[in-house]
Amino acid sequence: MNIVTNDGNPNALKLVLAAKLGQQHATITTVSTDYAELGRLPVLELPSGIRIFSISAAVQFLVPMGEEFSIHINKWLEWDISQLQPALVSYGGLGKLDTSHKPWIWSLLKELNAALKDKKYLIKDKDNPSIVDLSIWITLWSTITPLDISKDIAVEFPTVNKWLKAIEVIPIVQESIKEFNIEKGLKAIASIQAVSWFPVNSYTDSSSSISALSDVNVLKEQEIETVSEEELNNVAKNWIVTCYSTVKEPPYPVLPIKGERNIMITSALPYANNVPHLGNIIGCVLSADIFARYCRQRNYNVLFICGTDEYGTATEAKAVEEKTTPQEICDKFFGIHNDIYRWFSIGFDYFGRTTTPEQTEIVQAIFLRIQSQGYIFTENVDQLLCESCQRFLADRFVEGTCPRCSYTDARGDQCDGCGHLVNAIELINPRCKVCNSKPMIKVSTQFFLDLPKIEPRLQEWAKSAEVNWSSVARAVSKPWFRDGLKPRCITRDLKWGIPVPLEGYRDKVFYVWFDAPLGYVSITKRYTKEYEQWWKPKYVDVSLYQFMAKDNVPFHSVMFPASLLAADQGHTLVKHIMATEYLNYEDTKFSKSRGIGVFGTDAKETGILPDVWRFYLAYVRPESQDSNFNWVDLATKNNSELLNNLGNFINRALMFVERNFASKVPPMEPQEDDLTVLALSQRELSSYVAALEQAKLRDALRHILAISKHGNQYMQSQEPWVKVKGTDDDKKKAGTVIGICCNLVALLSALLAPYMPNTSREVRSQLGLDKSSYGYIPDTITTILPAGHTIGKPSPLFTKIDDQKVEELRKKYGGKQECPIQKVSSGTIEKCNDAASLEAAIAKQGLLVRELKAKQDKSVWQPQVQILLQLKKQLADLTSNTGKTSDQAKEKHNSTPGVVLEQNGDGINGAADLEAAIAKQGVLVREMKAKAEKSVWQPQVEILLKMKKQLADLTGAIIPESSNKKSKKKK
Amino acid sequence: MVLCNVKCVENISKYLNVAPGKLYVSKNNVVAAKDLLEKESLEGFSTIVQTLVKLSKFSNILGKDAVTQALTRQWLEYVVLNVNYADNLKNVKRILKVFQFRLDNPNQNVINMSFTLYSQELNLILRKSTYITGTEKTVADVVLYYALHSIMQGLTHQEKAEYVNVSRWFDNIQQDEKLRQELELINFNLLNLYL
Repeated sequence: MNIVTNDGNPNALKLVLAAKLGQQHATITTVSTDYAELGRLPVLELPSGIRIFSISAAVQFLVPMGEEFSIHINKWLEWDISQLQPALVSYGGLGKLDTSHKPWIWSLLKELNAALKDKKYLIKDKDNPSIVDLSIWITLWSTITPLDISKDIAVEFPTVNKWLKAIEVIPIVQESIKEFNIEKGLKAIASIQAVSWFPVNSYTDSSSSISALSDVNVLKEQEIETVSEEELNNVAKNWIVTCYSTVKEPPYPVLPIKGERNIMITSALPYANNVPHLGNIIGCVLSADIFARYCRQRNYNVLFICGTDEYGTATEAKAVEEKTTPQEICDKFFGIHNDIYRWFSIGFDYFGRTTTPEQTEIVQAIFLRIQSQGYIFTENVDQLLCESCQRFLADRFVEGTCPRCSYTDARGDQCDGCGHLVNAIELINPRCKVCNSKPMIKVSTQFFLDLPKIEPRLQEWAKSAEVNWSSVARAVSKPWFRDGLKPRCITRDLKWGIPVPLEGYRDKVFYVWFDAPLGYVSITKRYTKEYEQWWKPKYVDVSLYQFMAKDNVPFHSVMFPASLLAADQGHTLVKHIMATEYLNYEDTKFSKSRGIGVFGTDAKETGILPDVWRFYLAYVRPESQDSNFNWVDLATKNNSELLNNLGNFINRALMFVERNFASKVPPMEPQEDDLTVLALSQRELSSYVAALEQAKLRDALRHILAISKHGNQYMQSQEPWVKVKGTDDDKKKAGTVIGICCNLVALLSALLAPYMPNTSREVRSQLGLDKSSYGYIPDTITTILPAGHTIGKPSPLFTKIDDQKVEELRKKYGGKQECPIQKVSSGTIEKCNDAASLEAAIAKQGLLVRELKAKQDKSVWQPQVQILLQLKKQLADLTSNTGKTSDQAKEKHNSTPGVVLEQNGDGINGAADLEAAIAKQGVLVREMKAKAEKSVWQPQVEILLKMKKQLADLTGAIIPESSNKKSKKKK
Repeated sequence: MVLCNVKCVENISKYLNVAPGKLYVSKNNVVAAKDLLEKESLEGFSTIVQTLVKLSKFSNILGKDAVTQALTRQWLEYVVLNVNYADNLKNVKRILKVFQFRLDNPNQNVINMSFTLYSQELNLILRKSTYITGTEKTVADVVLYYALHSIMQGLTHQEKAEYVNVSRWFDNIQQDEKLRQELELINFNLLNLYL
């Protein structure tokens, strides 16, 4: 067996002694503390190679003892390692005695004293002390017996003292001490401490002694932030370098260049039928912009394009809703999008749109090409046709009950209730969104992309490509590749879209997912006639990075590449799919269709600067899981990170130069402590670059903040404001400190620019640097501002967002969201005449009320409750009339419903319970109606009606008589 | 609060089908049992756990041979010394806040820091073995499961992926319904990340 230990560790002595007692042969190997496995020594190495780092486990292994003692052996060995040693380390681990821990040691000794009373040893091994006694003895003997307090111990704890003396003279103990040398006292404590790790211990935890805690923390901080010799040397070497690259001016147009990193960045094209919300902004355009700016500041050759996606049923539906033409809708929303992105300082190389001749040309050409390659076929499909509107009801033109979850407002393409994709013809009770009438099913011929045929090539491509995708993108794509692809319909019987360029089919248009991704190509073409250099590159490498939220992933990982592969014309395929999860708004969903959340246009009105928005959105970017937008958090991050950390550091450093060094960067002669802060910052810089190379924007931002944190700590500990008033040497040191801080500020201005371009420019102007550029993002820290450089005029960069403002904003936007909903619901009261739409309205209103009740106070939700009650009453009136007509049926099934009623109706008292029961019963009825005959479902309908009536009776009392009459009059 | 607390011992007793008697927190701020020994109370998490195992019908989960027994003890000690405190730095955070020891959010960093260290260690250990002591399940696995449950619950998918060995081990261990009791089955479907 082998005992591996550092020098003079008392715990190793325990192993030596135990080996002797257990008559085991053990060699001792002394190693330096770096060698410690998991940071712990000593280690007992067994012949099998197994290493035991727990002393109590090792000594029990070496000296097996009888079962009868095992509990006490465990107890005292645990006491030694978990109580006594941590106490001693706290007491003497800082190299000097910290007497605040003496009471703790005293209470432990008292325990030991009591245990030894009337006994010679804690646990006897025949007549000798057991390994337990010996272990604890070694701990005490090696650490505190040479210290002054041993005299006090002798007086106060005579029994312990006697025990200590008795064991010392035992021959086997003496032999072991000779074999393994220990320097007693503080050295021994230090030796234990170097290779053990006692975290904040129980003692300091419970009594929260502040001094002890901060000691521990300082120690930890040192532990984490020790910088190796090598790092210091590297930093020192780089620091002397004074050539700092500049960012090259991008040419116009940007085209790929052989031998350079050519990066094409796209952001998912936003639909031009709505105002983007914060989640959309961080999900695609802002993320892409931060990454594009980073790439430009690294002197990569970058093209960043985006545009509005304008075709599709969503736009046409919106046009119907707003009673205008799709083109007008697109023009309007293109303007809105453009303004919002400009306000957010999104630096597109080109922001285009899909309603252009180039788009039509490219989409039609690709379609014909794919067809000629044999990847297109036609098939007849059932579609919903609204006879009164003379329109096929694709996707968003039809609503109905979701076949999966019975949500009543499911759209033709997707259900908002369960999130599943819906096939329009599967909707239960479909209704035309325009005229509310029931559509009929009609057969229509459509074109299909033969995905199964392309699949082998697609799979082959994906296998090598997906390593570069973000984890979200991989996760979303995987099921598609795993489950095999099905042919996808790529045309629609709509008017608003790119017509199919084939005789006999010109009244059909391409479905949006086929046409939209090709928008990237056509928008590039709008930007430059040489667009094929990017999209069909010859002799150059182009890396395509596409940013999007996860709902867009299948189109970019499967559909778009499949189309391009089928065309087989050497198109650039996506290399990096940078998908995000969703951002929620104050713990609910942002929803375009329901109007919840802060939208791009609102951000402008908050008075919060675009850069702060950019910063916060990047800070909460849903990189690996859904994240949450929260006003309080926004204010906190602004105040703590931007104002107190980053802004504070920059302002302090620059003000100091202005006041004490006449605005000139002083000469710098960095010593080890100065190099340390540079080394720590270098670590952050390297991590920053590594994170951004993978477009991990959120992580990279934290590394920026860490640099200014190091800077703040450095300034705080060096106290240049004291030194500048001291001796000449002190003054020189103050100059070095502040010069280094200014250089860190210059570095920060470059690192910050992708996230906060306007702030970065301001910092650069305060630094006296050229503010037309953002500064190169280097790999290593060099001198950016040499001694003698004149800075500009420093001024504060950020302002505080106070609680009052937060409340104000939260209220303002909280109130705003309710308006559209209120309008809708008050509208429905008058509109709804048939039971089905009334039920739908009730469900919707019920949802709203529940949401409001959870968050708002009574004054807000009370009016909504009234509306709900009115709706329910209406329904009750309506259905009781229809009920009369089926009186016969009622009688027929009289017996059965009676039984069920007791279970489902009469037993329920509270309105809430009743509501829930009604909802449940409603689902049941709807299910039955779909499947069974009237005679079967009629009884269940009766139950439902009875319950609704009950509810009306129950809640009716709350409704003021007048409002009731009023609503009836209106009808 | 430390992780090796009364609740944790209660969970272990339940798993072992033994009555722990009255449990409390001693003045040394460690868990103690009043009724396990005659006339004296027993202090120390690892000691109590080992005693409970001996009282139970499953005494073999201390390890079948001397080496496994030593390893089991070692990991129990590890839990007591280190994992135990993986959550308590919230206190530190509060105090730090008062003193503005660090300007921003020190808490989060400190907590992550300590947790990261343990997980890295565990991750290293579990790299090569199915159970913490090797190829057989011991009480050390049981104890670690209970001690770590609240921490594992709070991990993001990314962190779970980072400590993939710990995650794999934990997921394996938690499949035992008797062990899990009322605790939540934590989702380790890391496929989401890797697919």
